[in-house]
Amino acid sequence: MISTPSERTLTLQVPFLSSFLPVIVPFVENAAGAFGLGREDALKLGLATEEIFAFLAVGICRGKPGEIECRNGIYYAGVEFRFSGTELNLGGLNITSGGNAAADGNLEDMGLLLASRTVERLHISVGDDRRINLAVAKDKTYPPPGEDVLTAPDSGGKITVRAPNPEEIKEFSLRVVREPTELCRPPYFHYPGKVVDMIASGDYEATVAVTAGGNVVGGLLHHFRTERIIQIIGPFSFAAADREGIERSLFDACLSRVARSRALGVVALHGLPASLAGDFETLGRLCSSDEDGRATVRKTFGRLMNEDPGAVIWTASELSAHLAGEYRRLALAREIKIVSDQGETRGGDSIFSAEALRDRGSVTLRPLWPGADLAANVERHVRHLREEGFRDIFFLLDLGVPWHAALAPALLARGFRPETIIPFGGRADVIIFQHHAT
Amino acid sequence: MQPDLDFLTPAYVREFEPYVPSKPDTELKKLYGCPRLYRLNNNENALGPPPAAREAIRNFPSFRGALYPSGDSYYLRHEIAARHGLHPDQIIVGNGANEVIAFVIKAFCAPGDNIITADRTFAVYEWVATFSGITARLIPLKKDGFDDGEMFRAIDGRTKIIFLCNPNNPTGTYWETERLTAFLAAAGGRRIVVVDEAYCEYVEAVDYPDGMKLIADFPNLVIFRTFSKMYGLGGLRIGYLAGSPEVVDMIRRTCVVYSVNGIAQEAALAALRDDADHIRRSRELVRNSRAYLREELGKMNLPVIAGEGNFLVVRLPGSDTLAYRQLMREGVMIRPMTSFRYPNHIRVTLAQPEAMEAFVAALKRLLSGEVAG
Repeated sequence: MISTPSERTLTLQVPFLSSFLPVIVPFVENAAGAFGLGREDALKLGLATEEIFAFLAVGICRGKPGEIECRNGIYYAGVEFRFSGTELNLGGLNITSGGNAAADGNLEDMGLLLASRTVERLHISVGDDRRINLAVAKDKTYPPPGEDVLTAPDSGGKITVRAPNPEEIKEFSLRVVREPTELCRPPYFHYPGKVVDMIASGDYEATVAVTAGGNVVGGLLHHFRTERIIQIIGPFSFAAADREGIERSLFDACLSRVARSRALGVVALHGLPASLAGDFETLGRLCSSDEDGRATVRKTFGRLMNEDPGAVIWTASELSAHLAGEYRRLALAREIKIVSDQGETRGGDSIFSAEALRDRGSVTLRPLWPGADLAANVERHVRHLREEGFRDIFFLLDLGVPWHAALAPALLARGFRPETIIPFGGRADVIIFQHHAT
Repeated sequence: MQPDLDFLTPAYVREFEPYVPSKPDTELKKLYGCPRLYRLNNNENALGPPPAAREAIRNFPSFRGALYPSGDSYYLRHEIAARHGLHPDQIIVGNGANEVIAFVIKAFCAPGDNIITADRTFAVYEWVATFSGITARLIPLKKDGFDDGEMFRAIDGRTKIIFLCNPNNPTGTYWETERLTAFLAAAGGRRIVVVDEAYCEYVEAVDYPDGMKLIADFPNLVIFRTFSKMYGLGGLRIGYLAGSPEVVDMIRRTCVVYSVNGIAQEAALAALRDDADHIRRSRELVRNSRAYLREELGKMNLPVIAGEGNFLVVRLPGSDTLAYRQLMREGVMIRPMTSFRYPNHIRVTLAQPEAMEAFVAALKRLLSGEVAG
């Protein structure tokens, strides 16, 4: 049975002191077990917790009060460390920090990077009130599907497009990985039970096409990638005939479901069937690399849900021509304001959040706090993340946040290239840079 | 101290996404770099208000800006009632028809109740229900029209109101008299049937029902009408509802008096008294524009949904929201229909020939790839 939202969190209030480690780690391991994580996974989450708590307790918030919340995400268990960042030197929160922001230590001193090794996701956010939220998540381990042979879907007859039941989700997932497709298949499709739980959690929604005989002949997942932007995965069609019609029906049904939601736009970063390319605008491209170093470049697509209300965006002069060209191409109404260094004093250490996806070898960096060391911090992140084995390094700038603009020159100078614009992906548009190793 | 909004705000309000209207034309022209803008997005009457209504607006004494208007639109209610053979107490005037939608839902629905309407129709019924904690059951259109069978099957013990848009915005389809009266009879006395006739004055089909005439036979019927469309008074925000005395008496308990300003009341009154030639000229304009667009869009092989009302819907080969931006750069503002659950469709107001020609020319440039995007 799926627990109710109030049953999905356990919270502990605790000062960040190393002496409490024996309390914290069992708390997290036991909570993870109660939330359905297997013993081995719970221990890994406990290990990440130990690294992070120790890192914080001996470093940037030694003795400060905080909160540790364990969260049952249905398909994962997560731990959030929350504390006030007021009066703290937050530079130590960079994933590549050894605790002392000024120091450029080796990998084994980097508590957050170490913690990221045993979990699937690590993410840091800083609120406007400098309230810090450092979150890690460990996915449950699901069994791979058996070798059951999927029968060919029945053909002909009426096809219904609707939300699926759990068995239909499993059939959809199996067909995604077993049927040929041009689209990128995220790894979770290899675990149908996981996809069922992702949908049960409310993080994802699915739409499937079902024949009169009850076979799933197509499907599509969608989820809020950001506060206002929906990402679709698919649509996939497995039917022998009228694949394009099924793809369109799935997409139209998905749009109908989100038409009057908070979504301002839809993006497809995992590719699109050719039949729908005309429904979207090309936002750019992104590259993903596999463990053998093979790189796949994919176009990225997006469309708005409503009239474009226009926006003011901030950028450095180095990027302004590129943006002007892209906005002309996309017919987006944008007032571009140039941010320049006028010699004003900048102090403190910058912080980047790092969302590390270990299973894909990718990491996405975002600026969280400005500082005087932007260029050095970019360089340090790239170097250590490459050493740590991350193959794809992305950096997202929110063009609605003026101080983010100052990062563009540093990114361009260190091998990043602007690849994709997501309209309204943040306060305004978000531009995705990708690092290209030379 | 910041208010605890999670505690203060009901979940159905917190989770509701506010509608963000378009920026003013001046701002849009700056944003899109167009010196002139044809507004074909809101189904406004290109002829504006009838001459007498213009005169009423022009002659409104400025000192009356300090005086409260009639709190219940006294003279206007009498005029409307007289025209339709109703008692003035059977009419409630609101600050646009949007306000009377809220009156009706507040009057009859409590949390746990539901309303029924279509998935692809005027959105405000769904919105008001949703942010009031009332479930909106949305029945898919069938052949671009309201599906009476499925709507009837969706009724349960907690269904309080069924909203029909006749003719439907955006498809222009309508229920003829026989179909509507059969539905009203079947709906019975345990639910209200609202028929929104915002575009009724544009309808030329002979079998289109006049809802006002059905009120006497169907006390569960409430009619909405507006001065924003045919009467060209959208900028003054004025509309009304009509129903049986007992039903309207209940609705009146939830309505806010003094919400309709004095200029709007006088202009609406004058518009009603001077509408014959205005309606004739407006219908002629719409008829001609519809025929022109049908022909031009047909030449472009673009499917059209064109029924009654001063608008039509065009299916584009690509994204409607992209087309909106591209057409804005050409000085033409249309309504993209993704949020109406018609992705890749746009709705175009049937307006003066100059605007129609500008739209066609811009669309041709867009489809030929001459426009950026």
